Amino acid sequence: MSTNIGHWVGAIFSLALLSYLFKENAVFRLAEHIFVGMSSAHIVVTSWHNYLRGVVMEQIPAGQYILILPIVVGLLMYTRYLPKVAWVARIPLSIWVGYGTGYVLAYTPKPFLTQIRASFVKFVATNPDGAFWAGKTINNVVFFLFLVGTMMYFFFTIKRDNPVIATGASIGRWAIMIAMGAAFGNTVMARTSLFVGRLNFLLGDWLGIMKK
Amino acid sequence: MRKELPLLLTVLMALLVIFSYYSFHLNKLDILGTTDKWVTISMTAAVLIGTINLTRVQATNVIRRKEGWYNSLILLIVLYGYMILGLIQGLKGAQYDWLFQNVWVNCDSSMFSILAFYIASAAYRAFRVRSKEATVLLVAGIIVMLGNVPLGNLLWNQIPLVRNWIMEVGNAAPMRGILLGAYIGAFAVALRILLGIERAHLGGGN
Amino acid sequence: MNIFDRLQSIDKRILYVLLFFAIAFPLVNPVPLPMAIAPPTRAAYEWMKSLPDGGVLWVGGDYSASSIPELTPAGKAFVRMAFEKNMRVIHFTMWNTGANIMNAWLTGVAAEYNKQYGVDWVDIGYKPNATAILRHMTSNIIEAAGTDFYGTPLADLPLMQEVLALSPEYVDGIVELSTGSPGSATYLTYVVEQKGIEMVVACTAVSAAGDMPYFLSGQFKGLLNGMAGAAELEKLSGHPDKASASLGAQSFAHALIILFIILGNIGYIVNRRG
Repeated sequence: MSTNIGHWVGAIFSLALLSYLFKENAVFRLAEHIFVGMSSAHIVVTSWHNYLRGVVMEQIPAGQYILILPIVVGLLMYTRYLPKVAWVARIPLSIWVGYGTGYVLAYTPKPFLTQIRASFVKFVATNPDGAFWAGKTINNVVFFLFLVGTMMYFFFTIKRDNPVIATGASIGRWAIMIAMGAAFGNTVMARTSLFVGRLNFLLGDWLGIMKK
Repeated sequence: MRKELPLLLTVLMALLVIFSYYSFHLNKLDILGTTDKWVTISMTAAVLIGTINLTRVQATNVIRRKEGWYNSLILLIVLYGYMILGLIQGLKGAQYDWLFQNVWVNCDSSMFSILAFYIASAAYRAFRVRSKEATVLLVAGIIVMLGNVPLGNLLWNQIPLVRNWIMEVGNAAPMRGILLGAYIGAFAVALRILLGIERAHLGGGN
Repeated sequence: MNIFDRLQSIDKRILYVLLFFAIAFPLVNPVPLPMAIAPPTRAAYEWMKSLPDGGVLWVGGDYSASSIPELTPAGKAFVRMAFEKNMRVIHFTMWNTGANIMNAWLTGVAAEYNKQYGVDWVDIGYKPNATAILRHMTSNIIEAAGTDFYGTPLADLPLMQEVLALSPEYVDGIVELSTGSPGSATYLTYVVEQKGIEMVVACTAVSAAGDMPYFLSGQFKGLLNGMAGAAELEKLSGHPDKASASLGAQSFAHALIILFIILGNIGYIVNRRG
């Protein structure tokens, strides 16, 4: 069993939060509130020490007075707490939204087009020696049908009475089921990993009963 | 003024980024380098918004002695106590980092680890072979679950290969279809903001 | 209520207790099981091996404590491989909660290899407004980030005097440990596609299905799927650690959940026919 007080504190908080599985209780709520308080404080502390401190304590005193301007713009957000001038908070918000919008329109076409380019697969695939590769050919055809079918499934503006669209959408529905199954299988692994990690700490670091 | 100015700023900022990216000369001047920094500084200056909102809600609980008000009080003490400690000591301060590694990390990990039990319970209750489609979903899910861990390989050494096929063909093709749709959706929303059709970020009222 | 009805409505507390033991037992008594290597993991390993000795590896640690079991083992395996090749490592996180987590294990792994801070590795730490900072770093890291995790000006660190931008001239590759957004898609959009630096991604298993199209298109040179991917990389790189040790427990947990799904369906099918 660990003699490290940090492990004991960690174990107590872990057990307090895991007690929620049994039922919601006072110990869980206490730990939950401490967690939320620390989370909120940490955002401010990291933002200050890892970024804003350098600007305020070093760059501005070194003569970059122009940087006061963006600070003032950011501070306008706090006007939302003053009802008479609350609309002023829209100024920094609109700058940020506009900036993000510009980023989306300027930068995302490239990865989007790469995805489209990668979708042009060979229907007759060959191996590195140039010989016909049946397995790869089948996979490429299935990939194409599943991709086009999925996109047809989301054609909500075209009626399904068109046989091409209806068949494509039907293939798409089956393909989406496979994808959702895969996503679910992976999600189970992800979620169980989290508890495996917890028990690694509780049984290993804290209780010390795990064999190395 | 109250609506028009923010709307104008939104459009101008969006156009600034777009022209800076697509115009060779503006790109060379690295105008975005300066604006990136300014936007980041302005956003960081507004970081206390979340803290203030949390304080307002929790302080109201304490003042009005709402149910569980003592938890709200503890939250406020922890929030400001930990913040002051961090601002004084820095991220690697002995007490600050100790509390982060031993309390916060364990709280966050434990909070999310509860999901392991919920997903197990949900899988057991919801996964039924009610239709052919549901059966396909179930079989794909089980193969991926088995193929992801050594047990699948132990049961039958072809299971990881079937898992690979599901992930790289059966899953990737429809996921790409969904992804392309999401990209187009993002463009559409961005375009609506640029054209001033989408104004949700300006809020309601005057 | 007949037995088939009962099979469909087993008390969830029984499932909880069984799941606890299914995970705890193999952790306490490790069961060695044969592991298959997924192609995206092998691709990541081969990519890592292909990086030049003495080069620069950029590590994005964009996760919170909840993803430690999945992403820290993957990150450690990558960084160990990098240090063995005498590569210099630079870490940057877009998650405020990732700063202390990444710094803690990076310090440990650097100590294993006697690597000197500032010369062999640098921790830029967390910077807010990820998109803008990341894009800005592709042209000027010092101007964009300013200081490191400890508050030291980046301009004072020898490694950062050499690595001026997040671009192929200075950085040989990116390893991104990604939980969600901001994460691998942010790097892909603003760094990989714009500057042409190659990147491998270790993602939480939740994101693996959605990230697979990026691996197939070559935008990700490799993809590690959660704890399983991390364990596979640990095996390939010869550094077995927590992910490898935990995969037995993961196996038992999956087996139990599948068993319960099958039991529920047996009850459902028999009742439907009856």
